[in-house]
Amino acid sequence: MHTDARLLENDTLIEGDICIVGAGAAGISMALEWEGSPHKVILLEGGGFEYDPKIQDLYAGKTTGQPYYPLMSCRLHYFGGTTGHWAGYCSPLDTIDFDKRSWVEHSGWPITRADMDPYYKRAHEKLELGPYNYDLSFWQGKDPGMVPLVNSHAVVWNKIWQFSPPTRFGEKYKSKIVASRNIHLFTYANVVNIITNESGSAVRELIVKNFEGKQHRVRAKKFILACCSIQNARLLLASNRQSVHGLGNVHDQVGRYFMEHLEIKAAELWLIKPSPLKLYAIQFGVTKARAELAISTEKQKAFEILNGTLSLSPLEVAKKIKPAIEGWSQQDPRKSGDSFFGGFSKAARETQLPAGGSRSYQLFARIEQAPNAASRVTLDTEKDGLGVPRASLHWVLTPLEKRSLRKISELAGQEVGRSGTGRVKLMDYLLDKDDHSWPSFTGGGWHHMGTTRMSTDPKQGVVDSNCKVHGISNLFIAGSSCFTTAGAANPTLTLVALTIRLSDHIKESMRQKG
Amino acid sequence: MQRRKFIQLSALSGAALGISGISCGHRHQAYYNLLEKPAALSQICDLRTIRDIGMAYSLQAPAEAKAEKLETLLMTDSAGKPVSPDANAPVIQTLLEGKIKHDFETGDTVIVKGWVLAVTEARQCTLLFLHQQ
Repeated sequence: MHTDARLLENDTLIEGDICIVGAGAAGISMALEWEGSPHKVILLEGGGFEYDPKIQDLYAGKTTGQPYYPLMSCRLHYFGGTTGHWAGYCSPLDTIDFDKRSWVEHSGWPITRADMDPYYKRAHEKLELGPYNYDLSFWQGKDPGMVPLVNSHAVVWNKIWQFSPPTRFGEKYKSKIVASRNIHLFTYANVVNIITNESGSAVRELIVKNFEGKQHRVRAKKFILACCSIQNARLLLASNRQSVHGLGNVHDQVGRYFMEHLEIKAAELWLIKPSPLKLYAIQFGVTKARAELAISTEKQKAFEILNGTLSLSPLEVAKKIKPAIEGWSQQDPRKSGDSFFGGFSKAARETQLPAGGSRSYQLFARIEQAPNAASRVTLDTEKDGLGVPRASLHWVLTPLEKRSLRKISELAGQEVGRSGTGRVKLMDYLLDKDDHSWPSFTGGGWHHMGTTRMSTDPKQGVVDSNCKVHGISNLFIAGSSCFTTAGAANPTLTLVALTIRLSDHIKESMRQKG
Repeated sequence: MQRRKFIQLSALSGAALGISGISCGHRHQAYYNLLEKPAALSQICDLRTIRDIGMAYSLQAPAEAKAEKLETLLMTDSAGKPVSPDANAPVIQTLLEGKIKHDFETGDTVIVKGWVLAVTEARQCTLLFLHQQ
């Protein structure tokens, strides 16, 4: 079912069994898990089915610290969310990503990779991926031309990525959601406040608003915030009428530990003989799987570095592409997207690569950011059009990121040298021993994580191992804001898997309560 | 293009070293050509780049920045056994290739001007730089 909340009579009371706030990858995945169940599911989306500048503006906010993209441009505020322009990169986090690492402060999820495996498999279906198999040999079986550049395992291994078509959740799942008899989608229903009972131990209702001046209330047994990392934190912080510091924020954890994947050119690979390096190549819409160079767990431990991978692009093309932080500079996500993705297409179109493949490649790094309490989302003094304080992001990196990036590139260089295939040259900024400084082209992957991080200790995180907000019995969070650490893989697959896991947990708890 | 340029410049370099070789008396031209030409790197970089790497490494490792010292280091195999300068070219070539492989396998690498190199390669570059000074 679908209702445009603008058309409801003012102060309508909407009631259901569970209420999901946000209809992006997490929110829609959660709703789909309940399709056909006897439970009434309320799915709230702030926007409609199409891009609306006035709605999109609700995501505008300030950024300080390490230069970042305009916040308004980073997420799409309509049904389907940011899957409306994502690129479809998927890979699970590694086992080490969930582990406590002595050299990475605040690392260690309360769950393991093994806990996640069944949910990763189920997430594959929603994201229209291939089999849940990330073994290089499996993909080589499908295409023997996928020959690794290096394959030592002990130092550098080939981490497989799979590509979603990419699934546009808005297009793919709209009809199923709208036709559902137990999922009730409300568009133009922006949550502006979460109201708890007097003790603050449970959510009583949500207040939703829209630009037509309508305000409604939503009641349910369980509430799930699935609005993305920045908005989840913002909504908790802004719901401060009963708790002055916001909900779930007794220990000042909400909004902290904002993490991104650092995405930055790190080195050049020069081959002795030209090669197309098919294993590492991507053709959007065609490639099902490819590899990136990854660092072994043993070496991460030995050098006390963060996890990260290196992707390979022909240097002739890569040199023509503007750094994302320059190309993605406009508030309007459509304009930034056109500029950035258009730059890719233009570079590829204008470059004639040698028939036998290139001799030089750019090694482009994607590394995790260490959890860092100073990297955080807070409320700005300025309010949005619906009266909610805007988000303010203070993005902070640490020397560990840069040291890790240097070591990852160096290890890749050593392995390439050892393989006898070529040599690697690090970018100049990595030779600068000042690990506090970053070059102007430093960017992120638009991967927002960690603002309501998972921890069994309420003093160390916002949600428990089941993604329930500490201290609030019926409030849950879905999405990458729950990530304790970022890992090196793009977050969508993991956040969908985590959402399915949360869904199972809520179903089980409701079943137990009868 | 870079490789062709390297070969041309190497020839000039070799001619210059020929004089050096005469002054050294017994050492043959091939000896210097091999010692100063990191085989893999010379297929990737031009001569100027190799010389620049050599100059940079001479500053990074000043204790090694003497031609005689470098020759000794280069003409010692991975087990620490010296190899005669009078050895024929294939022997020297095999020696250097083995040393480079061994360097990468044992992590005896160095970053010079951004390049991740086997120490042996860096020394070869430095020898070239010193001889061309």
